[in-house]
Amino acid sequence: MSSDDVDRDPGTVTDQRLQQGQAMGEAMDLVDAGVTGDLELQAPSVRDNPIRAALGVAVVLLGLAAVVGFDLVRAVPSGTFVVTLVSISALSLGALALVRRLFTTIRTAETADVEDRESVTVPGTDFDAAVADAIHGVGGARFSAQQTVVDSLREATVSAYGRAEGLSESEAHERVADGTWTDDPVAGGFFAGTQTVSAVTDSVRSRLGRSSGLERRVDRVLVELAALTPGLSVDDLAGEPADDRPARRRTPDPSRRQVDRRTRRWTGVTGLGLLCVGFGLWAGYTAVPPSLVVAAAVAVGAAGYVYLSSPPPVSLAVERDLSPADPAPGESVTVTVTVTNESDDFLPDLRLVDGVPAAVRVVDGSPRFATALRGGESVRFSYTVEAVRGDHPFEPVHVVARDFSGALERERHVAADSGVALACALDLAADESVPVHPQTARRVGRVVTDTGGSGLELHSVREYRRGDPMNRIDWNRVATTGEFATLRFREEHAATVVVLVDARDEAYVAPRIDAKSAVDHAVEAADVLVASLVGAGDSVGLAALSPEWCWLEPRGGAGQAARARHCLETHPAFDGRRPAGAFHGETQERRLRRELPGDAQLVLCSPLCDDAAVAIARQLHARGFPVTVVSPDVTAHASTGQRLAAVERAIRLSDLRRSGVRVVDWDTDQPVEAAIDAARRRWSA
Amino acid sequence: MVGVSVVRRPARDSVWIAVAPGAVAVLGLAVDLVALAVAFVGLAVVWAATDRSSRLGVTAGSGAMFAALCYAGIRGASPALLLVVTAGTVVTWTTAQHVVGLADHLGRDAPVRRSVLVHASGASITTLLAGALTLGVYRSVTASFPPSVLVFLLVGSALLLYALEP
Repeated sequence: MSSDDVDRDPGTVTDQRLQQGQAMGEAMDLVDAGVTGDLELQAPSVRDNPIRAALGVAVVLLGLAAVVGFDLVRAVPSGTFVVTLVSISALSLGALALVRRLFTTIRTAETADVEDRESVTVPGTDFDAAVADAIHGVGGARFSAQQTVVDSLREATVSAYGRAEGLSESEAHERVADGTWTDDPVAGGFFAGTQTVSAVTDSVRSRLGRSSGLERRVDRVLVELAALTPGLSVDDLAGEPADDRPARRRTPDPSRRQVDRRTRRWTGVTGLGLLCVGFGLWAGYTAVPPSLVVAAAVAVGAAGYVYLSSPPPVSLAVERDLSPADPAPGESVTVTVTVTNESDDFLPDLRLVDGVPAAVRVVDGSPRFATALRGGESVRFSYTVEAVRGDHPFEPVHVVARDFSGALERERHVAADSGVALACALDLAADESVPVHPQTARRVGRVVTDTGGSGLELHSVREYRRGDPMNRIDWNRVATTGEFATLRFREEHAATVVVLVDARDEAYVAPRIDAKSAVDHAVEAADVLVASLVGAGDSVGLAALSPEWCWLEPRGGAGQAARARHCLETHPAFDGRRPAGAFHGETQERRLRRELPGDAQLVLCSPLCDDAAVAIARQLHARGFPVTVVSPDVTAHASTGQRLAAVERAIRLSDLRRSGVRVVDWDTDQPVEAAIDAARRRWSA
Repeated sequence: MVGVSVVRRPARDSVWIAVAPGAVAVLGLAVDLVALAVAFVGLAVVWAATDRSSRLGVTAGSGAMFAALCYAGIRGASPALLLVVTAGTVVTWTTAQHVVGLADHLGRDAPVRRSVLVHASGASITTLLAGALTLGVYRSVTASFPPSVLVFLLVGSALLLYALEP
């Protein structure tokens, strides 16, 4: 039998696949158990530092010799020299130990910011980071960051100024480069490079919490940009009080490493003992003051204890209870975590961080707890989260256990005994009348068209033709003139609308990291839109801009509203986690166009915090699918970068309106219905 | 509903627990004015550094306190007193480090008091025991052996431990 035969033999292939499957299954079991990291706890060895160890052994032997009656100090003529040598050694090695301590980095676990939703960033964070690098960076990194700041701002300025003045891009570039685009000399000189600010002054001001010269100059440019951008005023950019929350959250380690480590927190303590005795020898010569010997013994004893202690075993059982178990969206849910030490050993230092689901945020209490736990003892802590749509299983509890001294640390991830999940269905409100474009399907509906036919509103009168219904004959005219004429009314057709939710990586933005993301707002808006449109008799579909393809074909009726709701609750594109895969805008736009019925129009729910969403909306609109954008405003104004992000978003809104796309700028403090009503009034005015 | 964020700084009561043994140490150094002043400044630095989650500041402040107790020892402070002072300094240092570590892992709002108290108690017992043992040995040894015995043994042990530091 040849190798080809073996490959083709179905039984062998099946066996191979079975083996591969088993291997993969075992690997996945390991991943589930979290055993993917390294266990690096090793016993210290004298071979690590042979010279220091040899010196230590020699000095200990001298001490033991003195115990049996051979006192080197008195017996040998140069005994005092030995003492001096010991003194110098102790002092220098003590000093060395302390210096080493200064350069020792404590090694410890890093806990995630589980309180906040996963991966929500504040618009403008990258620009703020570039400004910080431009102020505090050194060398090439600093120059590169300065270039990034200037380039980003120049791009926004050219865009806003060119549109406001109706200039071509090259003309706008020239004006911006020579500083003639504005009357403000500071803003004008920013790109012309005519002003310089002391780097040291900037750095000092920034460290003192004051705004730097660079930030003040950028803000002057932003004020000019606000004046050039329709729909944005200088007051909109007024600085909000700075938030002490970080603009990015610490994310959990996806590999869930299980690590044993030495924390190095006692490094250098023996140096204190050495210094103590060294000082004593030096001060009292051969007779060290007894108090210093005791002091040295305390330090050395503490350090010795570190080496005697053993790492605690971590054997924990975790239970989690939710109350209420079946919450409505937005309702507070109390999570109670019970942790039991299943071993007989005492855990002197146990730190717990509960695995709050990524899409859920904590609104009260702390999902973190520290305690000491005897063998068999249980501890309970609770906190409150806000229920959000969908099913959200809890992650394992992140456990950091240390020995008494804190020198040894075990990091573990312990899953709860029962897989409790926070499950929550959408609460639908569906009485909003959503304005749509006059592009309709050939079915009766609520959109009043310009086509004459049956309906309620008078459209025109034409000559009677055979077959016209009797009830549409203009009998008044027949009575007065004797001529037959037929009344035509504006036909009322249904629209085919596809609600498109922007759930790309770039849409996971929020004004603060503890606030709802734009995707959350967009899903809520989509929920209201779908239900309202279906209620009005339109055919409604649902799709997502996301690496996770999501498409619900447009249909009408109550069943469609339920299907859309189920999709919003359960589809991976809307699960509140930042998508991991790459999003290819053009490919997805083409695919969407293939799926869309010819008479469809789109309602895109997007924060418009990047240019790709704008490009897709314009492209679809230009291809004959009229687009309405409902855009939750999730920009903030506390920092320079955040203000720039607000200006850039206003420019994008303005660009879309110029392209004929209807835009609803939604202040998320208000319900989406209020924003739609306000937009409708503006469109009909 | 407003979300809760983790603030990675210690709660105020944890800071007080951490500096309490240091306060005992400073009071113990009242026998020497210079040592008292230096130790007081050191403790203030430890307090401020713990509150701001600065490990370097905690070590620097504790270093000043240790320098103060060495000075007091050279100037002839009694061994029993220096035992308490050294234990207080070491306990404050390690508890402050523990509090900073807890703040980094768990933030300001997590309940951590039991953990801090257990750590401070464990460290106090260990250091006091080591010091008391040495004091007892010293008193018994100096009667029959030359004092260099203890000095050599102590320095040798410290060197060995230093060699074993990872």
